[in-house]
Amino acid sequence: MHALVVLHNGAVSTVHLAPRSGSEEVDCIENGLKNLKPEDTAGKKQVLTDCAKAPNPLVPATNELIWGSIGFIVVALFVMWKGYPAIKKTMQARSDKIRGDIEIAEASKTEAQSVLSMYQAQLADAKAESGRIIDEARLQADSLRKDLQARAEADMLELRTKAMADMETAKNRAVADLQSQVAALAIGAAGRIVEKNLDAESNTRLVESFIASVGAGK
Amino acid sequence: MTSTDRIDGYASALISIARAEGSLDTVEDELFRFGRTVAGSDELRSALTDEAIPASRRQSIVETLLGGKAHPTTANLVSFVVGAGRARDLPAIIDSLVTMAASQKNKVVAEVRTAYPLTDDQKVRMAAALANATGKQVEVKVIIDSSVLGGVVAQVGDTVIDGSVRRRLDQLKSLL
Repeated sequence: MHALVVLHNGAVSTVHLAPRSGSEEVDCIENGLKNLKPEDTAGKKQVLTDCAKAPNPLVPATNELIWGSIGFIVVALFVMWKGYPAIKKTMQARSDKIRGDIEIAEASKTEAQSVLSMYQAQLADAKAESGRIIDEARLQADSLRKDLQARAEADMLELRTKAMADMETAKNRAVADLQSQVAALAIGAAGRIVEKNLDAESNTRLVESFIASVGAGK
Repeated sequence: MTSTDRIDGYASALISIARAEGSLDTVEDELFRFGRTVAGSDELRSALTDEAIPASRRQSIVETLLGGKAHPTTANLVSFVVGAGRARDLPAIIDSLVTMAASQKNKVVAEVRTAYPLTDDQKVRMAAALANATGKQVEVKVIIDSSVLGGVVAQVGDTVIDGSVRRRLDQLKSLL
């Protein structure tokens, strides 16, 4: 055990200290006090002043270091004995959970990809179907346009043919009417001439001719 | 009584009167010609059938037309029909009379249209020729029709034999 000399109001007293890691300080004080007279208070003060040093926060005392190390090792062993399995178990459970979650996620991802693929396939089918419908509609429109065009041309041809036929008919009718009128005029003129020139004697010849022909059965 | 019965009745009565007078053939022939004259003249037909004209006035028209030109029995019979208010039926009555008279002789009426009158000889030969053509004994009734122009148009019942100049001109017209 080391003693520490403390200056208190100029009085020097000795305090017994527990062993500490700062053994250099004790050695320094002992060495300093060896050479001083007991009544040399100033000197002692000076020695204390010179030898007092703040404990190094980074370097603990040796005994502390040893006992600390031992304690640490004990604690560490205890923790390893008790805590490690639990920690391991917890870690294992956590890893299992994580693995399970990952698997679930993987399965979900797979399912999602499957659904996505299905939707993509349906979308592709829909696009293909729409394209087919559009093509079919285009073909029908073309066909209808051609039909309408052909029908219009046929109607036009029919109208033209009918118009030509009507013109021909009208022309023929006009010619026939003209011929009829000319014939009527000619016959009318001939009739007037005959009426003017036909006398009783000529009529008698006609009557006799009629009687002869009817009597003969002609 | 239907109009046909009435017409036939009048015709039968007129035949009886004419036969009683002993002038059936003459009266029949004159009635036939007068009937054709009335049928062919709208003015005469209108004058004889106009109810607004007194019957006596219409009878005087008949006497003016036929007096001195036809047998008295003919004039009297026509005047009787007109006075009875049957002037509108006079042509039909006369046709019925002629048909009845011919049938009583076992003959049919042959209506002969010509532009000029026929002689009696021509009538006889015409009747023989038409009898030969139709197979029936005919009673020739001549109608003067200038539209014939020349030649003869003979009708026996539904049979028409057209030998007129008009027909020839019509045939020529159809060929043109």
